[in-house]
Amino acid sequence: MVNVKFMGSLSIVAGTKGIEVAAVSGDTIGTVIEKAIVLLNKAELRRRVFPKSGGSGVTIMLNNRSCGANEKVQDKDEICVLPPMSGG
Amino acid sequence: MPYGYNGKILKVNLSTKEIEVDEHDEYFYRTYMGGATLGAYYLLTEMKPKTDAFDPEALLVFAASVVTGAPAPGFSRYSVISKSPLTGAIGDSQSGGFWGAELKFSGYDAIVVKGKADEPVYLWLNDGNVEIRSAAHLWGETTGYTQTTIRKELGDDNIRVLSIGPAGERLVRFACIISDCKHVNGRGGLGAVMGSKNLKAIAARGHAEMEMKDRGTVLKWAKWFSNNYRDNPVNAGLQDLGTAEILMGMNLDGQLPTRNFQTGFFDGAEAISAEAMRATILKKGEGCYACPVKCKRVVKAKSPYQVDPFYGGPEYETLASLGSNCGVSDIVAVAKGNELCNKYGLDTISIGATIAFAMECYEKKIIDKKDTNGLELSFGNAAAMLETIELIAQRKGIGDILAEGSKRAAEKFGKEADKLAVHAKGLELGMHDGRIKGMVGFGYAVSPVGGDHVVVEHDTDFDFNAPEIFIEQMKPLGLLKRCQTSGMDYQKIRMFCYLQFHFSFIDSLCLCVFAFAPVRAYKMSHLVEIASAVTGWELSLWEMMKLGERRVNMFRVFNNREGFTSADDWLPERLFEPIKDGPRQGAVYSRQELKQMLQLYYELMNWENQMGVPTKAKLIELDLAWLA
Repeated sequence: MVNVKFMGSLSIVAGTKGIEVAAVSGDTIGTVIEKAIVLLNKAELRRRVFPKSGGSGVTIMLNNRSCGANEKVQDKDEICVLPPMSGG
Repeated sequence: MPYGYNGKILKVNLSTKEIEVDEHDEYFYRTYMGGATLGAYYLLTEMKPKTDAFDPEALLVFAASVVTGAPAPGFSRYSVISKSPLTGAIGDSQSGGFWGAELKFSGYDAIVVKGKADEPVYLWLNDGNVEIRSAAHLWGETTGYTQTTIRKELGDDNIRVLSIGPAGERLVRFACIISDCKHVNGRGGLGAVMGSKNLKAIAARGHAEMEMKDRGTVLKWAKWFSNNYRDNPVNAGLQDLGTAEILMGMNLDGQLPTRNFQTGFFDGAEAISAEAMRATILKKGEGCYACPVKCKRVVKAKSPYQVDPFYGGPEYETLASLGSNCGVSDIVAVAKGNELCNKYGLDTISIGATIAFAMECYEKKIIDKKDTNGLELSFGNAAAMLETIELIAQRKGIGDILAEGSKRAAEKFGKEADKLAVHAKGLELGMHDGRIKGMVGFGYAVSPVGGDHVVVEHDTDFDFNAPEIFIEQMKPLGLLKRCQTSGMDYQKIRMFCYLQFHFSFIDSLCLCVFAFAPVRAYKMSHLVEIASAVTGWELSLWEMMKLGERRVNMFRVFNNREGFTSADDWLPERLFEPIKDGPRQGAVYSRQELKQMLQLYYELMNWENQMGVPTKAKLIELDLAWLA
């Protein structure tokens, strides 16, 4: 199982701070996030994480390390899905 | 007839009480457009070099732009420009809210103030009429009392009032200017320049409809923004949680300034996060003129401190400066600190950074209780943080020293305290760590105003893990590749040059960076179309980039004549020390790399590379031959 956490306003649109997702060998971070969004079934969350302009609209951390969506995950990993860290 | 602008710049001499109006031609407005570029024109033409910021002969300019007040999101802002009493360099600070648009509606594009009134006064701009009125009854009062009283005595609750508080009157070198008690021209101490002129406030009211060449196009894109801004990952979050949305991510990534930038990880971050604010003290979101995003926070609390929603609520910079950077994890205490700063007229970034500096001095025994009015000025002591704000506003005890800013306070403390003062050119750094965001760090070093965090797009917006939409939206500038987050290299120095021009024209046009920065909701083509529709000029991104470059060079010339050289383009010692712990432990800014990149930067800017002075050729190219 992989723990997918949603931070900032993403937790508001997700309706939860996190969800456990079953991952299989070869799953990437992007695949696991997609599974989490399907489980949560929130259109606004999909729109925010995968905007219609393409690609990802978020910052992703795997086990507290910034990374891209194509990295492979392992059992018991923790993925944090964050709003972009632009200037404040 | 002109479109977008009034063609009138008000000039007020407070010493002689003379009021004049400058009328410039279209060439002037299209060359300088507004904001700090217009302000710098006046500073360079009508203010003698090396005039002290508090000298009555110093100029203080309040400037909107040719597009300010257009009925679309992002066009609310205005700049205040003068010589900064904190840095001695040019001071330029922008604010949103409603005052900028009201200035335009009142019949003027800018106000140039000179001289010093015999007694406290305020200006009243009313549909083209101007009065200098006594503010003797307002002197010493808070910004809230000042606004309420002025509206009452002028009989109109819709008057927009900008004012200083007691801190500006007492010449605190990082005193700010506030409108509507919550929109702030925060940086550089320009509130103290107002105070030095005995100018308490400027009230504006106007009923003129802004003339635009093509109102339909402006309204079309305003509607587009309202329908689409939530598709932008940043703008949607700004509405939901405000600027503080980034705080938890910054902490998880080990880049949240903590305990005077000693580390980037704060174990109390969750308690001062936007999520905590929303769950506890948030009352509502508020916005600026014509903007649906409403990214400002309004908070209310009763315990352990009473926090008045009249003064808004803390943004990310304040939560970090008064919170993590002071080691304070009490959201109500930080909100109270924000209220005090808005009430007394203090820059929350500089005051938080200066108190954090004093806390480290206290913990390292450079100062002790004899110096701190008996306060236990340790990291994490929320009560001491709040008491120190009071002392600074009143210039009492240690507050009188800290009111001079961290650079001067360090000189006073001695004992190598200067190594703990986290500033560039005397301006305390924004709450972003240059050891991690390399381009932001480079911006701290070269920005004409000092440690400003809004000079370029932040590195996390175009690094290898940034959202794809951000990379796409920067391509019209010819910036096509992702970069590493930390440090600088050939690609990043090129990006820095282009992005600083972009941010510079955003400031010249008085636009909201949250709407118009390359990674935000509007695309660059939208701005070109809207600004052309407002003014009737066939504008282009090229012309705007040149406007941005013109502003950077005018600022540089101003600083050169005040005695600044390339030696002043540098970073505080703290950024050359490795981050102590957390996820980014060991991250550091390289001195050698900074030296190399500075030389390259001067060459790319076409500045003489020993002193960093714009060449005659560059000034001519930018239509600034009069400065050559």
